[in-house]
Amino acid sequence: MSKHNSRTFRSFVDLKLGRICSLWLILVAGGFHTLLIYGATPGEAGEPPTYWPAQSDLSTQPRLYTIVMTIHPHCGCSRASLGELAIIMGRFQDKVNADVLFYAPSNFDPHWMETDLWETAQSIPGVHAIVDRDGDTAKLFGVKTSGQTLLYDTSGELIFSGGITSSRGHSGDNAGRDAITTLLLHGHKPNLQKTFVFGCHLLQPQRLSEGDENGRT
Amino acid sequence: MEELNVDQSTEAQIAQKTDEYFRLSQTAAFQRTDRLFAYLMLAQWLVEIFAALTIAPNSWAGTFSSVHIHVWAALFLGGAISVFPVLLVFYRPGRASTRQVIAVAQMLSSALLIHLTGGRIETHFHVFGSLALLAFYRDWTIFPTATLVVGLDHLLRGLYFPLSVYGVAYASPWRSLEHAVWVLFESAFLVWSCKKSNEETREIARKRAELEALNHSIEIRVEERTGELSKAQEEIREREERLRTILYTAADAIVILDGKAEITTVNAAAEDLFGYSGEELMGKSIHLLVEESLKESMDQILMNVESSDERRTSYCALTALRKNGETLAMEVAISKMIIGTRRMFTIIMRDVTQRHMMELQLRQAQKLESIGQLAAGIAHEINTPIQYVGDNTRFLQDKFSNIKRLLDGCTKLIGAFKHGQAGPVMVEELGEMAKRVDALYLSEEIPRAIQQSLEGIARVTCIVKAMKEFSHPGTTEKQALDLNRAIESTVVVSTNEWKYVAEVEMKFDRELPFVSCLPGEFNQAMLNLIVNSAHAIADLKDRGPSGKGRITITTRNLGDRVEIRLQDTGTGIPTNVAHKIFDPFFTTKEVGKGTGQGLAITRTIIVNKHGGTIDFESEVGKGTTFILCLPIEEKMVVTSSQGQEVEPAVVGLH
Repeated sequence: MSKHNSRTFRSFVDLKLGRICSLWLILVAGGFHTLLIYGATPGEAGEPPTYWPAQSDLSTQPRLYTIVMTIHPHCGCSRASLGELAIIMGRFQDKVNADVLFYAPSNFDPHWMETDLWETAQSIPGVHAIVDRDGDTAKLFGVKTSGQTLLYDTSGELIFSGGITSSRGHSGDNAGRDAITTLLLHGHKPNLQKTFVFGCHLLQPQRLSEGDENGRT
Repeated sequence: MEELNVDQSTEAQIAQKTDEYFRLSQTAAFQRTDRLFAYLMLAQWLVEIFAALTIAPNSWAGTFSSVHIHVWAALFLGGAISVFPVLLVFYRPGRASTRQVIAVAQMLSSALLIHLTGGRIETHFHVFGSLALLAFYRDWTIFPTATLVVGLDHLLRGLYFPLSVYGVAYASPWRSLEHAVWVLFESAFLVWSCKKSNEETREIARKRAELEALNHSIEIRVEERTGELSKAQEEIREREERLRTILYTAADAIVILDGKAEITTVNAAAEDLFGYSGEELMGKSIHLLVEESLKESMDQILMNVESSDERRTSYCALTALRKNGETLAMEVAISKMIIGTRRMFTIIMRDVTQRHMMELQLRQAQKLESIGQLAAGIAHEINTPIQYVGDNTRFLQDKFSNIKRLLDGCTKLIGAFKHGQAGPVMVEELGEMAKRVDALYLSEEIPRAIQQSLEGIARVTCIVKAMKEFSHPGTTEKQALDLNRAIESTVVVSTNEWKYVAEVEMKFDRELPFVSCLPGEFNQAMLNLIVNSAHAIADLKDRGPSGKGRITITTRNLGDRVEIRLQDTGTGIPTNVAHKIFDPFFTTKEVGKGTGQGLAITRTIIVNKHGGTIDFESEVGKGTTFILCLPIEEKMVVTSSQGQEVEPAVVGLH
C-alpha cells in the first residue's frame, strides 16, 4: 500500500473507528453465536431399551452397574465424553463395568476406527473398548449419537440415558456426570435420568448415503 | 552530586519534562506491547487453526464427514478476532483504543481456544496468562474491559447452555463464579501492579528530568566555564604572543637559563649580539657567552640570585664574548623565575660598549670642559702673579741704572779714598747722587719687589703643580692615593671658581690612609662637587657681611672606609628635585650654564668605579653637604633592584 493510500486508510480508520469496532464486535459475536449454537445443539437422543437387551453380546457383571457408551472413533466431541467416563470410572470402578462401543464400518479398513479415542478408551481402567461392526450393538441399544451413555443397574434396568458433557466437546462439570454419580452413590431414582447428548451422528443418516465411500459429502 | 538549586520555573520545567518522559515511556510501552500482541494474535490464530485441525477436523455421520465447524471457526472467527487488532497495531500503535480492542480480542481468543480444545482446564490458563500479558501495557483501564469480556463469555455460555438436562435448566453457577472470582482476583493484583509500575515509571521520569535539568545546568556552567577558559586561553595566547613578540623584538639581549645555567631561550637581539643562532645556543652553558676570566664570577652571581628573594633583580657589569671572539661590555640584569617546581634565570644584557666609549668621550669632554672652564681661571690665576713678577722685574730693571750710577760713584769714591784722593767734594757729590736716585726709597722697594716676585713665582709653581696633579694623565689602574693631597690639588686648580664667592676650609685627617683609587677620576669627582658648591653659593643673594660663603672639606677615617664631607653654605637642594640630582643631564641651571653631567659622573666615579657611596644632606637656604665614602679595600658591589647591596661579587670593570 502506497504511503498516500496508507494515510488515507489511516484517516478513514480514525474517523470511523467506533463504527468499525462495533461492526467487528458484531461479526465476532455472530461467530461465537454460531459456534455456541452448534456446541449447544444436542445430537439425536435415541431410544434405548429400558432393560438390558438379552440379545446383546455384551455381558453384565453380577452386582455391578453397567455403563454402555457409544463412540464414533473420529468424533472429536467424544473426546470430552471419554474424559468424563474416565472420571466416573476412576471413582466408581469397583461398582460399575463400562463397555465403550466403537463404530466400525465393515467396508472400511479395520484400522480406520483405531484412533486416539480407541486408545484412550482402552487405557481407562474398568473400560472395555469394543468394536461395534456397522454399529449393530449401538442399534440394539437404540443409540444414535456418539457419546451417548447408558447406565444399567445391577438388575439390568436402565437408570440413565444421555450425554455426560455440558456441550459438544466440552469437558467439565455436567449434568450427566452428576446424575450418574448420584445414582451410583445413592441408588436409582424413580424416574429415568436423561441429559442431552452432544456428539456426531453415530450411524450414517439416510440422506447422507449419497456421499462417497470415504464419507465426504 | 551537587544539590540542584531549583527555582520555581525550573520545578515547573522539571514537572513538564517528567510528564513528557512519562508519556514517552508509556507510549513506548504501549507500542512495544502492541507489537507483542500483534505477533501473539497471529500466533494464536495459527494455534487455533492447528487445534481445530488436530482435535476435531471433521464432523461425522457414520462414515460421512464434513469439515468441522471448529475449523471454520478457527479460520474465520479466529481470523476476525486476530486481524482487526493487528491492523490497529499497524495503523494506530500506542492508542488507547488499540489497547482496548486488543484486550477484548485476547479474551475472545482465550474463549475460542477454550472452545476449540473442548474446555480443557489447561486452556483456561490462557485467560490468566493473557491478563498477565496485558499487564505489560501498565494501563489498568484495560483490565475492566478484559474482565468484562470474560464475564460476558461465562454469562452467554450460561444463557446458551441452560438445557443440558431434559426439561431441566442446568447451570453450574458456582464454578463460573469461582472462575470469575479468580479472574477478578488476578485483575485486581494486576491493576495494583500497573499503578505501582506507573508510579515507578513516573518517578524514573522525574529523576530523568531532574538529571537532565542538572546536566543542562552543568552544561551551561561548563559552557560558561569553557567560554571563560577559551577566553582565558585566548588571553593567555595573546599574552604569550605579546610576550614572545616583546621577547624577540626587545632591543636588549634576553637569555633564559634553566636551573643548570644552560640556555633554553634566546631572543633575536641575543643572536645578533653574540653572533650565534638560536639552535647553536640551545642547551649550552651561559659560560659560552662570558669571558673566560669571569666564568666563576658568573656562577657566583647565579648562586647569589638563586638564594635571594625571587623578586629581586641583580645588576652587574661584565665582559661578554661573541662568537668571533670579540669582547663586549655588557650591563646585565639577572632575575630568578620559579615556574611550578622548575627554577630558571632570566638574563637581560645590554651592550654598553658604545655607551662606555661615549661616556668616556663624554667624561673626556666634560673634563675638557672643566679644564676649559678652569683654563681661564688658571690663566687668570697665573696671570696675576706673573703680572707683578713682570712689574717688579721691570722696576728692578728700571732702577738698576740709578743703582749702577750710585755704585759707580761709590766705587769711584772708594778708589779715590784708597789713593788718598777722596775729599769732601767727592763725598758731597756722592751724597747729591744718592738723593737724586732716591737711594733710601730703593733700599726699601727693591727688596720688596724681589720678595713679591718670588711669591708670584711660587704661586705659579703651585698652580702648575696642582694642575699637574689634577690631570694625572694616562692612569687607568687604581693606585693608592693620598686623598687629602688630591683634594688640595683640586681646590687649588679650581680657585678661580670659588675664590670670588666663598672661602674654602680644609679639615683633613692627617692620619688618613691611602685609598685605592683612580686618581684622575677621583679628582674629577671632587672638582665637580667643588664647582657645584661654588655655583650654589654664587646663586645665594645674601652671603653674609663678608659677601662670601664657605666651603668646608673634611676627611675622616671610618676604619674600613674613609669619609669625605664637602659642605657649602649655598642655596640648598629643593626636596622636589633632590631625587633627581644624580640623574644624567639633570640641571637647575640656565641653558648654557651647565650640562647636568657633573653629579651623574661623580656618582658613577664614586659608586660604580670605586665601590663607594655618595649621599647628601641639604636644607634650602642653608646649604648642602655631600658625603662620600670610599672603601679602603677594593670591592665591587652587586645591587638589587631596590638599590641595596646584596652580596659582593667581583666582575670586570671598565
